[in-house]
Amino acid sequence: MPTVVLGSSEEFPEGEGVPVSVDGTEIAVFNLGGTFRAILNNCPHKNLPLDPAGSHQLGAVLGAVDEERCTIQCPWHNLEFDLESGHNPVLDRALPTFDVTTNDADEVVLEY
Amino acid sequence: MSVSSETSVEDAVICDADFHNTVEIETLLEYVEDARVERKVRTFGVPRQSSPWSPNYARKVEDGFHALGRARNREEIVEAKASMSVDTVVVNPNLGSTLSASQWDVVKTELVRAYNTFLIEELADPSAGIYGTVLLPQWDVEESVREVRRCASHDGVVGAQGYYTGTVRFGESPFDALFDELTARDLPLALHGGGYSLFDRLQTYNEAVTFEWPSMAIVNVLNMIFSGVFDAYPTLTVLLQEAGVNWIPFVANRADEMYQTGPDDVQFTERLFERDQTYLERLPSEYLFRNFYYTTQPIALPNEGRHAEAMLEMCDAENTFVFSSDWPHSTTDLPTWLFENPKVSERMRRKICHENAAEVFGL
Ligand code: FES
Repeated sequence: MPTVVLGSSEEFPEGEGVPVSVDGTEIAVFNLGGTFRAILNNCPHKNLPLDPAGSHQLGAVLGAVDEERCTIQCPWHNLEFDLESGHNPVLDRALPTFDVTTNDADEVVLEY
Repeated sequence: MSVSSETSVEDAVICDADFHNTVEIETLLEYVEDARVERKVRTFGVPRQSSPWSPNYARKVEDGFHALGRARNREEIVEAKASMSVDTVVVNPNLGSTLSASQWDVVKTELVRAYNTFLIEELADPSAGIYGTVLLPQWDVEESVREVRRCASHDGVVGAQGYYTGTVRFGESPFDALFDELTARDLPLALHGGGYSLFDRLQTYNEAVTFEWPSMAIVNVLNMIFSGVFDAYPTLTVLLQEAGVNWIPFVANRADEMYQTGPDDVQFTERLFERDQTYLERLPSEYLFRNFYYTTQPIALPNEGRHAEAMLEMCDAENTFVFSSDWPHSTTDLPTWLFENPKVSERMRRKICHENAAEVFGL
């Protein structure tokens, strides 16, 4: 399985998403209290990016990142995705997810 | 790859004709002149909507009204429009929708005045791409006319803002004083949904939001058409905001069919009776496509391409749609659909993104 180093773990703030592009695939990487999860960065509702979920903008938290349940809510209209399975129960479909780990140099590494 | 100005969201010129700014009570009170009203609002807040429905009921998030943030001043409006790649916004405060469906007319009128002063002194700024519509205290037509006269000469004010609710009927003849003023100034009347009050015994917010606003809009559209508003004011432009669009073909065909079945009905409406006019000058559908424009959110286009194409054509989208986002509500539509849907031609996109708005608002 090929891997790619996405950057130092410091570049991935807790509770927020970071957009990355790997070989033309747009991926959102979330830091859930030091554990990393990645999901295709494209909400199927209106084809909008998921990475702003959990960010604070203009006096609001967009969508949500839930560490305990390992889910995010889309920042645009709040559809919820399981970051393990990529599944959304309303649409009953799953987005691709990716394995992410950290290496000895404390870098975030994505498998694809 | 070079990107033409018509094909990318980032580079296209986009005007958002239904963008909601947030007005906090403290800000509003700075502009309230009457001490009694100030005391009341300080104690009890802005008069509440009599509506039983709130978007917060249906969502996991706490605040569906502000799902994408709060734009309280020029800087925050500029930031918010940049987040959507929008260049120009016509702001329409959440406050207006609330007041249109609440009680206490005297208090409401004072608050509307206060907002309009705030709009012209602090918000509207054409050089920053921020325009606004003067809020109408629509429960008092005389006062509405006064507000238009007071505020319309500001170059950031591009229209008058009313609300279609369960109780207002814009075809009623007292509104003629307002239409006189608007047509003399070549200003459009923007009408947005306000409150949910048409139907009892709904079970969910989803029913209310899917159908109440389109229904209240249709009621007002037909009320204006059949009472001869556009025969008396052929140049009056009405922009329907957040009314949905997919009903346009049905209403056009059904209204024509009914009118042709029973045309004698219209002569007994006040305005036409007064004008001694027996029939409308045009078919109802002609007014629908000539005097009305429609903001795009909620667009709700069919997924099937040929259905979407037919829908856009039947609505004459190219000539009647004006892009809107409804930012920052949880129902926001970003402009992306206009760039991703292959059934939206480049010309249609250009017209919906900004040319039709320029036409409506004289930008
Ligand atoms: S775009 Fe994700 S819920 Fe709408």
